[in-house]
Amino acid sequence: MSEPVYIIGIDLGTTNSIVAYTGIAAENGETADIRVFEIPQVVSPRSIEKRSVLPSFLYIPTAAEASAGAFDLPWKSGSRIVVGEYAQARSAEVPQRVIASAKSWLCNTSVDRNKSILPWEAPEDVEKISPVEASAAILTYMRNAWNHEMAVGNPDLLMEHQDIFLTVPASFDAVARELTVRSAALAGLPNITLLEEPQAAFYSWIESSGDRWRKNVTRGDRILICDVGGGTTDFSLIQVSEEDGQLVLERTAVGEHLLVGGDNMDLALAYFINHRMAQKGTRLDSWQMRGLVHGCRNAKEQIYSRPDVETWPVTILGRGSSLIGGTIKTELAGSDIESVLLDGFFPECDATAMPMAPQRAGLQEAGLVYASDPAVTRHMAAFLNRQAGGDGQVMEVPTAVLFNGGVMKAPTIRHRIKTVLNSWTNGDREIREINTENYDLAVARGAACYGQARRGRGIRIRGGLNQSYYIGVAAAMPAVPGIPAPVKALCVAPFGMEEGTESQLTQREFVLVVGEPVRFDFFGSTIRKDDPIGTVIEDWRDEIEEITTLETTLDGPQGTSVRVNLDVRATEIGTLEIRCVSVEDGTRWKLEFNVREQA
Amino acid sequence: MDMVKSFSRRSLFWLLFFMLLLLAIIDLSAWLGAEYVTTAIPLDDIRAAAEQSPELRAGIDRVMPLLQWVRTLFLPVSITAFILFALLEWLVIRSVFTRTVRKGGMAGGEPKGQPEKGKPRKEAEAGAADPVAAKKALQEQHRRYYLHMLTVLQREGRLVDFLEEDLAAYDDAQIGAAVRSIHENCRKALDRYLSPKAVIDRNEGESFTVAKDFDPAVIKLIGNVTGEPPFAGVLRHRGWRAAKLELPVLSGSGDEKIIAPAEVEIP
Repeated sequence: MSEPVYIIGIDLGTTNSIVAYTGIAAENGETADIRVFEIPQVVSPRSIEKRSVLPSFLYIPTAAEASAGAFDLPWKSGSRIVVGEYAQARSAEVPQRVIASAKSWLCNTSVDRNKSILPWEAPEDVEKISPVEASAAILTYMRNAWNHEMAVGNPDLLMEHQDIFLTVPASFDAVARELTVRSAALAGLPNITLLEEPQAAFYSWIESSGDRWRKNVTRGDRILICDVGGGTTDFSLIQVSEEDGQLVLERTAVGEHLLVGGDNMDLALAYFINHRMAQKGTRLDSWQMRGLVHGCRNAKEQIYSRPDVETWPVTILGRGSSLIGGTIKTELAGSDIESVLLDGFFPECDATAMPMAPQRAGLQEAGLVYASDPAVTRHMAAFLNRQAGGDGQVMEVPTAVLFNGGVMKAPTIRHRIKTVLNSWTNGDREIREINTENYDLAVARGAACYGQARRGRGIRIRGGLNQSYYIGVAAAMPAVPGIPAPVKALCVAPFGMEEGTESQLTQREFVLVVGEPVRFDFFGSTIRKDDPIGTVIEDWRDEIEEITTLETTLDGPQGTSVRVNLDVRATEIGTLEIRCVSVEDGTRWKLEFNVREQA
Repeated sequence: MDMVKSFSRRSLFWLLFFMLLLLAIIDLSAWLGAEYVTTAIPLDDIRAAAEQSPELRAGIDRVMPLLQWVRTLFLPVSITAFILFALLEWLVIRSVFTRTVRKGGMAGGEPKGQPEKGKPRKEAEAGAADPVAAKKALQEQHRRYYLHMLTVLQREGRLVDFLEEDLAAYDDAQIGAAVRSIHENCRKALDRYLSPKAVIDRNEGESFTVAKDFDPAVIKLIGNVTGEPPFAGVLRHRGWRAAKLELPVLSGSGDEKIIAPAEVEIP
């Protein structure tokens, strides 16, 4: 096993994935600069080009399409799955054969994540894979591309031998993180460490500021990281304090996983224009609709980059070869963008606003669980209020905000969020924006930067577990026929438990029967942050959410029972491991997360 | 791998050759020696003398069958032994060679550990085997590269659709509306692949001095062109240079004359 030569940061995004790398710093303190790895990918059949971004799309071509080496890669001929830009292009044309947003499926509890279900609702003859395998396929592709481009003839430079840091949303719970690690192992990358995306964005800012970052934050700062990407929105809070004269950073809170992002916004703009055209009598078919989405996105970017321009033309070219004859022309105005994007996704709201939960239809289509309320600012208010504690407590408005994600490239959106945050401070003060530059590549660069920090160069943000985790224990009550025994929540892993630490739950002993499957309910809470290990909570339904179950089957002589304690470990790589340890002889059994469908 | 194979074959041949040569020399000298012994040494006299002494006769009786045995078996045994030794030497030398080659990481050694051989190797072997097919494949590649930029502009900006339109049927406003979108998309594509930049980064209409050893491919002279450079002139066109030339990797085979495939929708 050779020493790693590179630190590699991988941003496995919902829509786009990026690989950044840097050389492991030399002894005398000079840091190598961080570069983005250009990934060769199929751009159109029989044509491969390098791009700095790998779209997270998997296309399953028909056998006829893949003949004559149309999708052959320099390192492999005859692949059954196409990854990258061509797959993204095909996702608009042949949606049934393309897997998109594999990452969002990893945290979807309403499906069995190990079963072959993707592409979702594809016809019978399309070969399906599971969400874990889909993520593994993207990572495998990156690994093969790296080994082909960077490690020719030198096995020391193979990706599997380097220090790899893989980013996950801060809101990913222990189960989703475990599945991410598993898909990395499937991809032949067994040694990875997980890093939260908002933290990675912060590291990227630290790295780009050089030593001046300490001048931009002060002791007592509460920094909100607002990360709105293509498909997801993620909030985190970082607290700045001081110890022995040195600034210390600590990640104190994370928000829920919200499936609303830039793609929703582009669609909303297109639907708005479509509605306006329909009122004038123009109907668009699905092909023209796609052209409209593309045109709106372009027009939006143009209006953002030219402050003096009020409107921008949106043209939908005619279908087929009758280009000009079939052209439909319309325009997008700055006021349209404001009403649709700003008022629809970032509305001004009170500090006490809660996300609206619309009436649920009786039958719900299974699939990805999109956020019911697309208003990001309302979710932000709910997140900050949750940190304040019980009712009556006033929300602590953050002192500074760091933006990340493709959506935040628009200055009007950043300005709106700051306006909303300022309105919650009752005019006491102005919220500061921490200026960062690269909204797209920050996460991957930050991960590479974190790798340097782990090796002792640079500051580390203290984090630990992102939620408090609990198991269900039956209350000791007389059994009442027909009524299930009430379940209490017992804390097994407190919020902020540091990576690399282990603790045993000795307050409780469990008697388990050998040979029979053992099942514990597994819960988590992003709100209760002060429960130490061993706390029992009776009325947990408000603040603690069910996640899944923990299962195992003890091996041994049938019919006997074993007294066990629970042993909880927060691993170095960012996952949670819970084991049953026998009281008598110390035998250990690992409890596995159940990733099948939760009713 | 074929380097190792060809080395194996050649080394085996030479090893066997020299070992057999050595064998021939030794056997020949042994035979000559034996002949000399039988002719030079008077065996009949020894036998006659042996009649006198029973010990000598016993001694000769013991030695003679041994000598006979050696004479019959010497040739085959020596040949077998030498061949065996030759094979042993060959195996040892071959394994040493293979190990050295593998460590040195030369192309002829182990492939990169992947079960499927890459395209260039197949092409090289095919090329070696069939030069006509290789030349045809190269021509096909050239044609695909020639069409590639146009293919991209059609895919990203629908340029060929536009150029093949009959503009007489439409008025300026209609054409203008379509052109804006085509222009934007084609420009983005051109920027990504070629990034065209001015050859002379000055304003047109400014005076410009053409240096002494200018490259005529870079600067074209018009007007009153006489005498030797340097020339004082006026810049009329800034020219275009590709700031980058990232060639794609074109793989696979198929109809190389396709600019854009036809589209059929399955309802």
